[in-house]
Amino acid sequence: MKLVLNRKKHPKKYENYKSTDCITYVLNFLSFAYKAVGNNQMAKDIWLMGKENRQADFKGTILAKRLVNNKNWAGIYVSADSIHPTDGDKEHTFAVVMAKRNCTFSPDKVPLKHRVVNYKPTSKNDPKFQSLYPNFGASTLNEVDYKVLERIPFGFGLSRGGMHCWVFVEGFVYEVHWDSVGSGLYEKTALRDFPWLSSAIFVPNDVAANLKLVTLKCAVGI
Amino acid sequence: MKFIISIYLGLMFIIGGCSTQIEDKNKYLVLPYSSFGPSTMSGSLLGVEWFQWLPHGESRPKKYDVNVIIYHEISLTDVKSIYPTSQKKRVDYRYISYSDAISYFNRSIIDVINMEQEGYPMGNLSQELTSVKTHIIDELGN
Repeated sequence: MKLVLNRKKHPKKYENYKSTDCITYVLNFLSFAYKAVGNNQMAKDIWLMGKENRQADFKGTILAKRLVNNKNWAGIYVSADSIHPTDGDKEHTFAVVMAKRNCTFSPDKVPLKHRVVNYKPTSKNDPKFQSLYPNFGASTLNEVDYKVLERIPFGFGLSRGGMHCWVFVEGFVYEVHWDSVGSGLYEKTALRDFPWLSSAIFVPNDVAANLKLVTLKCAVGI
Repeated sequence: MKFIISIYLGLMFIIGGCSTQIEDKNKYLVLPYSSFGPSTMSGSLLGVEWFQWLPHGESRPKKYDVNVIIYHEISLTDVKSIYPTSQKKRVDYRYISYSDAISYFNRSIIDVINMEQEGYPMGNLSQELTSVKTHIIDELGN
C-alpha cells in the first residue's frame, strides 16, 4: 500500500518496484512450491482459491478453508500461552477454547485438526499475567509439541482471524510488512517470539500425515 | 409585533430541534467493536476487526478504531446518513439493528455459560456481555 502511495508521489524512483502484501506473499510462495514439485495446475489454481469469487480480494481464511476442505490440508491452532497472553487480550483465550471445543479458527470457521499451546508461557512477573485469569497458575512449558512445529517443512499461517498471513518453515515465521519498502519489507521470526501470540498454521496433507500431534477430539473422524 | 413573532418562531425552532435530537438519541447507540466480545465470537455479526475497506489488516498487531451503531426505530439509510463510513476519513462503522444486537447477546451469553459449565475458562465474559446488553436495552429499549 505504501509503495503504491510512494509510486504516485515519486513515479520515477519507484517505477521498477513491485508492490506486495501478506496474502500475495503467501500465494506466491505456495504457487512457487507447487510449481517446484511439478504441479502446474495447482500453481495456477492457488490464485483462484484465495478469493471468494474472481472480483473479490484475496482472503487468507478463504484460502485456508479451501485447502483444508478440498485438498486435505490440516490446521494447527497455536498459542504461546493459552491462559495468560502477554497483551491481556481475551481474544487469544477465547480462540483457544473455540479451537479445542469446535475445531474452528476465526469467525470464518476454518477447520482445525490440532492444537499446540504453551510453548512460551508468560512469566508470573509479567504485568499482564493476572489480567485475565488471576487465579490460574502459570502454564507449563510445552517443548515437545513445539519441536514438532520446528520440523514442519512447509506451511502458512493466519493471525487474529485472518488479519495477517505469513509463511511458516521449520519453526520460523516469514512475513512481509506491506507498509515498508526495502530492508524492512521482509522479516523472519521464531514462532515463540511472534508478536501475534496466537495463530493457526496450515500444512499440506503429506506433511499433516506425519505430524506427531494429538488430534483434537472434535476433529476425530473428519 | 413582528419582533414577538420572530422570538416565538425562534423558540419553537429551538425546542423542536432539541426534541428531535433527544428523540434521535434514543434511536441509536454507538459502541466500540470490542463491546461485542472477542472477535472470534462477534466477527460473524460485525464483520472483520480491521477497516472494512482493507483486504487484510496491518502486519503488526494493531487495534482499529471501528465502532458499531445499534439502531432502533430508525431506518438504516437514516443511520448511515448520520454516521457515514468513510475510507477517506478512516471512519469505520458497522450498523446492527437493535433486535439483531439483542439476539446476538442472548445467544452469546448462553454459549459462554454453556462453555463455562463444560469447564472451559471464560473469565468474566458472560457478565461483560450481560452488562453491554443491559446498557443497550436501557438506552434503546421500549
